[in-house]
Amino acid sequence: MSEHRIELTAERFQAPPALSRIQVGGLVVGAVALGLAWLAGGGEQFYQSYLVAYLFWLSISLGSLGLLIIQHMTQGDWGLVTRRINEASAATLTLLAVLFLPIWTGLESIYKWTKADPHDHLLAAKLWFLNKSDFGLRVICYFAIWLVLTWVLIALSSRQDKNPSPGLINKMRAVAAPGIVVCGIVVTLVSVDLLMSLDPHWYSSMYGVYFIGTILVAGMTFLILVGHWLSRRAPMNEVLGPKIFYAQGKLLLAFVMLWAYFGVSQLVIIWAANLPEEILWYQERTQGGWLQVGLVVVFGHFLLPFLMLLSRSRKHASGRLARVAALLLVVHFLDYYWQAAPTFHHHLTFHWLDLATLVGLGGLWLGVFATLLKRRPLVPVGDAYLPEVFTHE
Amino acid sequence: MHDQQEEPRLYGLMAEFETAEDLAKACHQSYEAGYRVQDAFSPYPVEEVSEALGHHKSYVPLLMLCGGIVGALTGFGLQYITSVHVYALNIGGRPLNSWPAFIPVTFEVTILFAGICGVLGMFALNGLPRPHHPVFNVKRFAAHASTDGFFLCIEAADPKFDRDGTETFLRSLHPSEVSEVEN
Repeated sequence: MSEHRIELTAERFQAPPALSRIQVGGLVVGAVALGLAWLAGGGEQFYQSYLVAYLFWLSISLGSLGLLIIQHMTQGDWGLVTRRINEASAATLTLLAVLFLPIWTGLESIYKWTKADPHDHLLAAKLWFLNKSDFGLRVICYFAIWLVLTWVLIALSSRQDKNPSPGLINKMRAVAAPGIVVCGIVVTLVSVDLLMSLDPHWYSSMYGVYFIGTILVAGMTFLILVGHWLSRRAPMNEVLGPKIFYAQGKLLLAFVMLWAYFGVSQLVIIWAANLPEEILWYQERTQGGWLQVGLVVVFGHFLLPFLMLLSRSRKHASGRLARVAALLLVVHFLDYYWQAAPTFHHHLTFHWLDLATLVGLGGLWLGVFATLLKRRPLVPVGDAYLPEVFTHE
Repeated sequence: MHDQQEEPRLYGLMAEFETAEDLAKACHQSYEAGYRVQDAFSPYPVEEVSEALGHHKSYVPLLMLCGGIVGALTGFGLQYITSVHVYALNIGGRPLNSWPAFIPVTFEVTILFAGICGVLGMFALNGLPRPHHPVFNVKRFAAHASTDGFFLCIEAADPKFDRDGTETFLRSLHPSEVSEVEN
């Protein structure tokens, strides 16, 4: 409404000083917690806890990468002003590539197929896919694809800051379009390798898309939480208004429903077929106290957020929206825990290492995220569409 | 000859603007000036305009929610009653109340009822279908409202409405044209 124009310069959109505290604090807390978990914990439990924590942070990075490439194709206002957040979050995949090493060293403690019983014919038939060397090779390919995609998009976006040429927008789209297809396939394979193969007898054709549903929710909730944090500080308080959060809230509601849709579809398909090698997965997860965790996931990841996100005013208010996002992110961890941990423990158990690895990885992850976010202006100041975001206020 | 025909009653005054931004600005100013019985017309939805006119709460979402709840109960109830009471069949040894199998239909009926309630509720609340409306008596409105014109109409029913005062006010908003809307 007002005529005053926001100056779109790189100097004006420097990160708030509070981000440096997160950077240092995150790196210190993360290193201490992970070191402590490694020294005091060790053994099988460390690797098993590490895997779930790792998947949690990986899902946020992948969700952000997904939102980033989708945004390049759809070109919405909200996606443009939050692009730098998604870029920084996706770029943490570089850290996660390094942090994959503990999973590799502890592979025997995590995956049963590494010590397959030769008399287990069902499993023997799968070993052409589930073997250590091919697994390692695949993981290297996954990260290579993600990192190339992420850093090419970041490099093009950074070049915009110095040279605001409209041609760069088309270049980013040209990278993002095949990126959507490639990421969809790669993430499906990742869900099979990292999560589904925990129970190597089990298979579900719905699992890949279910996993995609979880990472989209993770990426969106993280984006809303960071956006809320930034919107309370200069300079982003002038950019991230109710309209931006309304758009994000609507998409979050859609992702929550998509996740539920995939989850229910998988359940109904397996439940209706009632095949012994499929249904066992659900049986394991509804016994020994695990049913309660599953119910918490159903309520906390769908019913409650769904009802809360129906409200129009909640989606406009970043603080209230952020509370739903926080709830979803916590339950999102429980979702992975519910899927992975029952293969390790038949009775519901929480180990202190679950928390220590989560905090340890999270600290490092957030520290690197803050470092990456700080490096560049918080909005792509050279993008030709950016002034438009501010004209129809 | 009926030269003593009654003068057509005034429905309101209409101002035309060239851009959506101008219209939004004008709506904001006229709301500030105290006008409440007014409406804006644009070829495509402009969110700022409806905000500037002051939010009037729509009951369509509430109707859709009620429809959805009724739909969920109907969808589930239909399957529950038929497969547990009316036509109980043992299928593969599963319990009669096999709720996972009921979810897809329950979901579909929820969406169906919410959708129907939304469409019917929208028609019931906005007074459509309506063959004619006084604003179409303005020639430029009829020709441009759905293509490239942005209009603000302050109705004579507004308590603050005054034939000359309101026209002066509308002209102060720098419209491209101000015209009378006859009833």
